[in-house]
Amino acid sequence: MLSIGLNHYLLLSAFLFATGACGVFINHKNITAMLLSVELMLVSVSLNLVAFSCFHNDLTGQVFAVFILVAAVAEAVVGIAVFIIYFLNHKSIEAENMSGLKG
Amino acid sequence: MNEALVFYVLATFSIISAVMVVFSCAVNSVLFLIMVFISVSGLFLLLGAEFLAMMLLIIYAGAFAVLLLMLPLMLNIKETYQHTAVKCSAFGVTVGLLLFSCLAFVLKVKPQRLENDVSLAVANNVKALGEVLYTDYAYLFQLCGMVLFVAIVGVIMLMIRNGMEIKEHKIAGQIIRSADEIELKQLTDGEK
Repeated sequence: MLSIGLNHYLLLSAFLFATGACGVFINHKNITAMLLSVELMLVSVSLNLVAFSCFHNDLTGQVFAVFILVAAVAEAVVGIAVFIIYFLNHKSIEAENMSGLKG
Repeated sequence: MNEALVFYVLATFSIISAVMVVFSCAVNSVLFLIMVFISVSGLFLLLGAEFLAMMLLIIYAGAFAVLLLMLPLMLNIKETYQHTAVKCSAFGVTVGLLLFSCLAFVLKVKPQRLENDVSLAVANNVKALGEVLYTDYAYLFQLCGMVLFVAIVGVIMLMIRNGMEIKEHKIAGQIIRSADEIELKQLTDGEK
């Protein structure tokens, strides 16, 4: 077995990011699954930053991973609140029907 | 050797659960997302970022994922759109593969270690991170607090429903145009 280098972590994080991007397209009718896919992408980005910070001996990457965590949580919480409000007003959150502002 | 074994086990777990997040239904996909969080926090431990690993476990897997788990329970989503069209799946997989093959070009680059011993100077990862976070990035850290505060205020404003006007789209008001904003023009043949 080879020793684990930076490339392994970058490949893993690239795979997770691609899976998240893939999930946004595959679940384009299910808005909660889209939210989960976006979370997956954010986690993969913070894995990328932490891997760089570890292999370059620079703590800045971990600091920015902390900021990414904060931004991800704030975004997702506001998203969930909007979904719940939308569900209470329209009795469904199917993404296909969310075209009221199309004009 | 041991480190490599732990890495491969955690990486396999995270890859399998990430694929299952995309391809399984509402509650299961949240549970698989929690699995991804747990294995990624194991990878953080392997990398030596102990503070971030614990933060990921406590905030993401502990609090946030439970919130996400309550979403399908509260919303009573009907499982009608589980099997999306094959065309959309094929498009999504193609996008994912293209993105992955672009990102996988990192293998071409030979990474070199930079001689920048910040994190090795202090034995404790939490202490080192705190020293950087509260000095160099103090303003950004305060801004993070502001972001969370604004998110809290926004969520509360959205959720207040009794005694206040319900927040909802007034679609007619948003797409209506008054008569003086619209101008009728007679097009000549060249402009048509």
